[in-house]
Amino acid sequence: MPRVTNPILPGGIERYGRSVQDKRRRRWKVKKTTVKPAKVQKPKTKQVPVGGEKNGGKRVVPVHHSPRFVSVDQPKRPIGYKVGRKNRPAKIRQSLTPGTVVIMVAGPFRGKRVVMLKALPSGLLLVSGPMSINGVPLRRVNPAFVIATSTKVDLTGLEVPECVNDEMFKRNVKGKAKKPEFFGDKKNKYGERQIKLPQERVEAQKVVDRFLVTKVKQTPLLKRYLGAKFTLEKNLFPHAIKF
Amino acid sequence: MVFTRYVERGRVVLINQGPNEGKLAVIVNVIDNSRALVDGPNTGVVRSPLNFKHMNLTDFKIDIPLFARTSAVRKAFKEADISGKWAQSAWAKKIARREKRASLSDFERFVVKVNRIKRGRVVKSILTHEKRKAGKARRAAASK
Repeated sequence: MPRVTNPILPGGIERYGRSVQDKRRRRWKVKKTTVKPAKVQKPKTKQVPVGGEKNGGKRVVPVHHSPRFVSVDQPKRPIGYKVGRKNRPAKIRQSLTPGTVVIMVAGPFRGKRVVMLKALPSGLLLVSGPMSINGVPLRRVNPAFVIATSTKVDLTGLEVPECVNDEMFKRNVKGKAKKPEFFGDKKNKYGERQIKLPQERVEAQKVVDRFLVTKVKQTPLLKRYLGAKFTLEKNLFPHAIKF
Repeated sequence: MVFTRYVERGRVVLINQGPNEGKLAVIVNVIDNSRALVDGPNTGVVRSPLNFKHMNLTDFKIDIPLFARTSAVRKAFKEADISGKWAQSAWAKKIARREKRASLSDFERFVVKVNRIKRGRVVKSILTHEKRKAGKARRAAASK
C-alpha cells in the first residue's frame, strides 16, 4: 500500500477528509488474496457398542447430545467478566520506566518525590523514597496518582529482593481482627501504634535504600531534590510546565 | 521622551505573531498605515506584507535602497551583522532566558531555585556588611 501523506493544517485539522483519503489510497485497485485454511469436517456421529443380542451390537449416535433439560434460571455472568483477564499484563505509560523520579499527587505522601523501582504485575508501581531521604518506604502506588518527571536515577545493578512483590504488600486483614495484640501496645515516640514489619521487608528496604542513596549522591543536589516536596509556585502553571 | 525607533525602510523588526514568530525581518517598504512589506532572507522570512501589530521595532536599521530586492536585503543584513548584534542585545538574551526557563525539567527548576536562594543570601550578607560600614563611618564623622 503506498503511503499517502495527510498534512495537518494550522488549527489541527487534517488536509484530507476520510472519503478523500480513501480515494487517494486506491484500495479497490488492490485485490485481496487471502488464503482461507481448509475446513476440517468433524464427524457428527459415532458408533458405540450396544449390549443385548437383538440390538445388532452397535449403533450410530450423534457426538453431541442436546441437553435434556434447559434451566430457566441461567446463572448470571459477573459484570465485566472476560476470559483470560488475569493474564493480561498491565500497561504502564512510556514515561514511567525503572529509575524515574515521580511526584506523588495523592495519599499520605502527596507532594513527595520518589524513585520508581519497577512496575508490578498488578499494574501498580513499586517505589521507594528512598526512606532515609524523604521517609517514603517501599510502597505500591497507582500510576494514575503519579506525575512522571524526566529525571532518572540509574538503577543498573540493583537487584530488588524476590520477596518484594504484590503478595508482600497485601494486608493481613483476617489476622488483624483475630489477634490485635499482634501489634501490641507498643507506641513510638510520636504516640502512634507501632506496627512491627516482617524482617524480610525491613531487610529489603535496607538493600534498596543503600543502593539508591549511593546513586543519588552522584548527582549534585539530587538528594536535596528528593527530600523536598513538590509545590506549585508563582508563575508555575501545571499545564504549561515540563516535568 | 523622544522616539528613537521609527517605521522606516531598513528598520529591523522582530516578528511577534504568526508562523514566523521570533524571527527578525527588515521593513522594505511601507504599504499603508497598517502594513509594511517585510523581508528576512537571512532568518527564513519570505518577503510578504505584515501588519504593524505583528512586529516589534528594534534599535537596528540597515541601509537598503528603495525597491531593494531580496538579494540586496540579504547582503545589507549580513554586512551590518544584525544577527550577531541581535544575539548580543539584552532583548534577545531575555527571550533566550525565557525559553530556557520554560524548557527546564522539575529537577532543573529545583536547582535554579536553590541557586537563587544561595545568591540572595550572599547579596544580603554583603549588603548588610556594607551598610554597617557606612553607618560606622557616618557616626565617626558626626562625632568629630
